[in-house]
Amino acid sequence: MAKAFSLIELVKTYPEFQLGPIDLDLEPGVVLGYVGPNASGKTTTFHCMMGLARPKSGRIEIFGRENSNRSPEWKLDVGYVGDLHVFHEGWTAEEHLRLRSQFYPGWSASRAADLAKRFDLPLGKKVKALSSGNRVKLSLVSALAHSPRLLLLDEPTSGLDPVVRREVLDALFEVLEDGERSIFYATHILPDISRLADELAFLSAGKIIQRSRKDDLLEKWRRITFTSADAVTIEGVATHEREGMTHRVTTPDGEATMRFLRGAGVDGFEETRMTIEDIAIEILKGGQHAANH
Amino acid sequence: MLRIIKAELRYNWFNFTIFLLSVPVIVILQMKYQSSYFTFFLMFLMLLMVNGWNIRYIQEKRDFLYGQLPLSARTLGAARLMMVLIPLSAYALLYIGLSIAFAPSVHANVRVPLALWGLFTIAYSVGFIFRDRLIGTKGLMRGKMIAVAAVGALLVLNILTWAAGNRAQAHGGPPPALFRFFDFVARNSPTASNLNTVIWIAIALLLGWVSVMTYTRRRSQV
Repeated sequence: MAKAFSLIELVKTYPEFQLGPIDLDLEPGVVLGYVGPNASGKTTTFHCMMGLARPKSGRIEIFGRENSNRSPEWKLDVGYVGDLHVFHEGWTAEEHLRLRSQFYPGWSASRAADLAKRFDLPLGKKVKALSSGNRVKLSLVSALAHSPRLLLLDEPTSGLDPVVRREVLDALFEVLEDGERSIFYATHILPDISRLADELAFLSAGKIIQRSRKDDLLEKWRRITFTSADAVTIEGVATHEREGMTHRVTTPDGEATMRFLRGAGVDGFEETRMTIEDIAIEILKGGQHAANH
Repeated sequence: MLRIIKAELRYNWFNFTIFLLSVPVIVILQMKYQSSYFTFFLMFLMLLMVNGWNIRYIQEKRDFLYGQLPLSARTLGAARLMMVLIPLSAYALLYIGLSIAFAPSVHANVRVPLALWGLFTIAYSVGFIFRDRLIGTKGLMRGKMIAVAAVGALLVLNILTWAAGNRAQAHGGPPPALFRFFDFVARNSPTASNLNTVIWIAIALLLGWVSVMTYTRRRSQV
């Protein structure tokens, strides 16, 4: 079965920035979180995937078809919500949906109406009168009403206040949990995606520094505290801080680190699990550190 | 493509109605009063209408919207071309209408702004068609504003020069150089036989436009 998407040695350059080379793919039915700080290249990746920006080199395939701008049938399989929520400002949300429906054979008016109801979206209001939250909801309805097999979500909730963001995400996840589809979700706010993601790819300064299953990360990463009067050098840890006799270590492989400590004769250590947000910060800090040196 | 054109026409119905209504209104007013003031006023109105559409297209990032739809780059490009051809056609209609109304020769006060506006529209349109999709929309907006301001200033200068030239001639003095230039442009406007001058000015405007566009090119957001 064809992969939902494949990015093969993708490179896109701007005067002061280079994305890639990136190799990334997604199996059907998997939710992949694309995590990185601002200006790390997330939006550029999505623009290249959607044909909104031309890569310098590399190849992009969506369900086995090249994302060519000459034959755009591949876009029928994709629902895209970008960081910009662009509409005909003077039209109502309903008019906008009617326009989009003309381009997608698989568009379902009843599904659009149902989604609008679930999102509590006022369809009769002009777009320019919609709140930021409702604009995001309109984008989501527009992207979901033709039941795409691949959903590309590029920080859809950026710019929303926490209350509205939570409301939008709750509604979105409720909808997404229903169906079986591949989702590629970019964000720099981990809690937005941690509930839904199966896997996480971390992007820093235009490069993918790590891709892992979310459960593996949660299983392996540990924060370990121990007491030792001696200076202890532990290989493979992310951070090691010492305050008097107390050592605090963050490690991507808790088991290996504890094995090492036992071997070094260190006793009385205390290990704690880390949240996915803390793990992401450590990974990205590492990536940033590597990019700076 | 037709679906996009239809959507654009429907969305900008007010601009297009005013734009198209301007044509007979100009012809009627010119026939009745033989005055350039109406022309200038309506020219600006028309310019605003076309600009309103094009700038709204840019401001509302319509390329971003249409670019997401399952349409080929060729279709999007053709739709864009149509968006330029429509106002250009309306301009041609206006010109033909005026030419018929004032046959055999169109009054210079009418021809000058029409010729300049036509040249501006062509230069503007070329910039609009060939602009990269999505990339540098801020630069494009600024470029357009500069171009609109430049043409506006040119038209104002035109009016002032004509007024000064007419006054000088009435008092027997020599007409100012700019008067002679605009007079030359008017005599060589598209209804006259010598199209070379018009083409030359069009190229100059085009180069100016491309320079503005190149200068204001910005990288898109990462």
